[in-house]
Amino acid sequence: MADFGSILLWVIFPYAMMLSFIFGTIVRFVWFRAGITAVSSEMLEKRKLMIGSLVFHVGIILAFFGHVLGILIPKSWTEFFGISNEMYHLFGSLMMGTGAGLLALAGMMILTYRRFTNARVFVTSSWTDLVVDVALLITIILGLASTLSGPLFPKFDYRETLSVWARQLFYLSPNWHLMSGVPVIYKLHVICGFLIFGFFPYTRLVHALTLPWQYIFRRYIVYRRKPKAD
Amino acid sequence: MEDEEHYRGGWELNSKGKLQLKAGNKLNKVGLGKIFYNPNMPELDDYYEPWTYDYQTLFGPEKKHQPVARAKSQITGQTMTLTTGPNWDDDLAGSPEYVKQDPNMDKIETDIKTNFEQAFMMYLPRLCEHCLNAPCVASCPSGAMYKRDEDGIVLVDQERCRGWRMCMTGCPYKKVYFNWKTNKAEKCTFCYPRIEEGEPTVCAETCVGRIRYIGVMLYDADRVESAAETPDQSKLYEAQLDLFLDPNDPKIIEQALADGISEEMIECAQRSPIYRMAVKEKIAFPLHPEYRTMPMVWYIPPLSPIMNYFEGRDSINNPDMIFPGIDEMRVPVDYLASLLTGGNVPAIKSALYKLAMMRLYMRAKTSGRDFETAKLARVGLTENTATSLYRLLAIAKYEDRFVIPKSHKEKVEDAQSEQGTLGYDECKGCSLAPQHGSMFKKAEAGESTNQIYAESFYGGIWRD
Amino acid sequence: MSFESITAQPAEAIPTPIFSSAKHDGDRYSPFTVNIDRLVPFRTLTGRQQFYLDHEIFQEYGEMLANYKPTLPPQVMAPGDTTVKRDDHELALRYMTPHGKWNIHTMYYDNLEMLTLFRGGPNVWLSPIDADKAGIKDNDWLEIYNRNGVVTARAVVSHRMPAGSMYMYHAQDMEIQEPLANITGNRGGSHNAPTQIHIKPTQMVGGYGQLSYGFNYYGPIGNQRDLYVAVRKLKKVNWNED
Ligand code: HEM
Ligand code: SF4
Ligand code: SF4
Repeated sequence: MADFGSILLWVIFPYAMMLSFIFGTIVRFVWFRAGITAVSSEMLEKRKLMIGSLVFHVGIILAFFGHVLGILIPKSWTEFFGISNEMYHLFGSLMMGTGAGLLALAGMMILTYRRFTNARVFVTSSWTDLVVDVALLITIILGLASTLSGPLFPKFDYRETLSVWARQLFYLSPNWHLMSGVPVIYKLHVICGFLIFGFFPYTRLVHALTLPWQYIFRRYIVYRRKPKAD
Repeated sequence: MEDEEHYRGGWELNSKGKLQLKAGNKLNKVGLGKIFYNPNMPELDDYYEPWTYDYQTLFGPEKKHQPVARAKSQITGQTMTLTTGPNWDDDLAGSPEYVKQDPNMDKIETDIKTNFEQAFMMYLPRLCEHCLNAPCVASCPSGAMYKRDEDGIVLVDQERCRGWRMCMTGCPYKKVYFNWKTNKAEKCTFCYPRIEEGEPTVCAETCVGRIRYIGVMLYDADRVESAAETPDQSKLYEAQLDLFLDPNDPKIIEQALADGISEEMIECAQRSPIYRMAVKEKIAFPLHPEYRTMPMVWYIPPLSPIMNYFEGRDSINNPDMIFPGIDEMRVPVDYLASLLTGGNVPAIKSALYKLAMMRLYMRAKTSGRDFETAKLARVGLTENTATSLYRLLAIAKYEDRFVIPKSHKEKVEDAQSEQGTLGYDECKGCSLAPQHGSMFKKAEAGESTNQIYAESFYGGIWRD
Repeated sequence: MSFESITAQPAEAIPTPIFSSAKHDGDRYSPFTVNIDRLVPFRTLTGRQQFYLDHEIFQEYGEMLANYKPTLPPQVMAPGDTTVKRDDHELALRYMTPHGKWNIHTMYYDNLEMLTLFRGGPNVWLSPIDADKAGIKDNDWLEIYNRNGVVTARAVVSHRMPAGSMYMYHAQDMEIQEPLANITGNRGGSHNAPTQIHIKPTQMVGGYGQLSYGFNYYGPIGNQRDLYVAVRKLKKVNWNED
């Protein structure tokens, strides 16, 4: 039974969420393109958005790259480059991770507060807008708590358990036993994270997939031409 | 208030004399976080908070006092104190406060600005300029905004707009709007389905003043950028004028045909009322050329503030007095120059002289007075051109105002299947359906399309 | 014409044969075209356009031709009226109720679109010179009264107005955005609350050529606007919605 629970949580659930992400993204971009937008509420409130949005986005994007580094890059690679485990945890995880996490947290606190207390913003929010903000807030808190709780679990190295499992997800052979020794707080963060992944494409979050980087390389004025009549 | 030093729309020249969006270069937007928060964007209160009235309370139970319907926010439903709205300063309302905020008034002394005796005003209907060097298009990081190659109409692709809102602030005329239900940008479409059929836009068609004209202009697209980089802002009007090509020049016609421009288009360009007014007679001017947008809706400066002043002063006996009048009326002339020519006063004056001369000539002609026709040459008119200009401006026949070629879209796409594709399917709560519901009901009740048309289609606009 | 059609959009009605437009083929109403195009005599004593009135009462008052009469002396309240406690900064202004920009004659236009197009409720126009004297700023609430009635409205301060005069455009609805007047404790009235028709002896003439009373055809001319109002800030804006 315990096994079934683990399989459900660490195999079926993550895959379900990833599938949902892929499926939703395809559906949204192929059939419902016209609905994809950043759902800006800047027109309704500016000051809190300025601080909240800037700080949150910088934090969350840094945190995203932090996750890529921490999870996807095996310990052996960093060791190969002569980065010791202590150095990694101290600088990489604790300092940079915490920094990014705190930025994201501060930003999200402001944004969530704004979303629920500013009358104009609140009434124009869809329920998914509210859920997204709360879910991100909770996930960020759990993530920060995990990082900061590192010293409490001196024997636990997520790069030997959690990260390995996460990479295995990509090779389609996750070993759920690796997750058994992981502290609860990490587990909760992972579950929330995958939940967000799952509903990502159905909410305003899709906007993150549409960063218009091409703009930098494009000429200013865009002309579009119909096929010419002969 | 239009103040692009504050909202940072349009273009400016950077230190190298090259065009750059006033809001900052490209990298600075996508790379440096402006995309997360657009610092130049106006807030709702800079426009106004839409309201409605609680009309239902007027039908409530009997009370001591007469009932009252108060303004409630359409967004939050809360009772509002109205402090701003569209046309809030209509007809010089609140002028002591609002005149101060008008940057076009900056150079005019304060006491003249708000003096009853010197009061002048004009209406300036503003719409999207469908600029040649459109900063809204240049600002859009998603590439959702584009200029149509075939007719220059600037549109927002709703499928590609992601709501980054750079266009709203990039447009110095503030003619891109944010739909707070779809969270996307929307703007004037120049009624392109009508234009494609050779029909004028609805605003032009229904203008009771018959002041709107639509015609074809041929221009050299490759020279737009360098024209917009003209350093002196009072020369921008002439730089734009220089872009327009003479549709009667055989060399131009040959080149146009070679570039795939249809004969119908060229023929319309030759009869274009816009070409006549802007290039030949030079009585029409672009709105705020100093934004370096190369705007394509041009304005004829009004003679009325000057005429009003002048008609009280012996104008019947001495009609020629209007010319010194134009020189004396510094305030309206400077104001017009700051609106329409980036400060080029002589260009405005010569247009006003020409309009005044045409008026004097026609007045003499219709009232059977003598007129020394040699005077017409002073402003570059002849008896013939004065009369035909008068016909174009004052009689303003439909066929003279609108000379629009058909696009013959049917040759390039299946017109049948394109028909009726509104493009707003996904909008929550802003589809046309509620208004058109009654029409569908009529159809279900067995009314013929002709009947429904007769009842609901009036002057080119659906009404039901 | 049906109920449905008049609720759908404005429709014109020409109820009496006295209206003088030779409408055909959807032309707009244009007065006197019947008389000019179809040569139907004008409905005057002479059958022509007539400016001179040779009726003896008009002669007695010297009004055979249009002529200038000075306005009545400024009077806001008269002896014997209810006393209203005056305000130190009160102004006495000539009160005029011209036709509005967006409506024709007394057509009400208090729908959402029209009200959104300007200030969203009752308003009066006055000059900056008068406004300064009474400490009034644009968009302040004002109380405007005379012996006939009270209006509450927001101030529109504009140098388009000459000093000494006030406009309240016709037909602004008194049930929209109209607070209670402090003077009466009741809701303020409409633009016509302070006005009163003055009957002149010349208006008693009837049964003589064109001088025959007909509804909306010939009646007392609009000299009910020749009056003054006292203008002051509305101290307490009380809506009293119950
Ligand atoms: C890829 C680059 C990204 C860009 C260009 C971007 C841009 C934006 C913009 C323009 C807004 C609207 C701000 C407004 O109301 O005006 C926004 C809001 C938001 N973004 Fe992003 N974003 C990005 C990445 C992300 C990521 C990775 C996440 C989280 C996983 C995220 C989460 C959010 C949330 C939750 C909001 C709404 C905040 C609120 O108003 O309550 N964004 N973003
Ligand atoms: S006026 Fe029209 S074309 Fe020009 S910048 Fe504004 S929205 Fe774009
Ligand atoms: S209809 Fe024509 S004349 Fe009237 S306001 Fe509009 S543009 Fe001006």
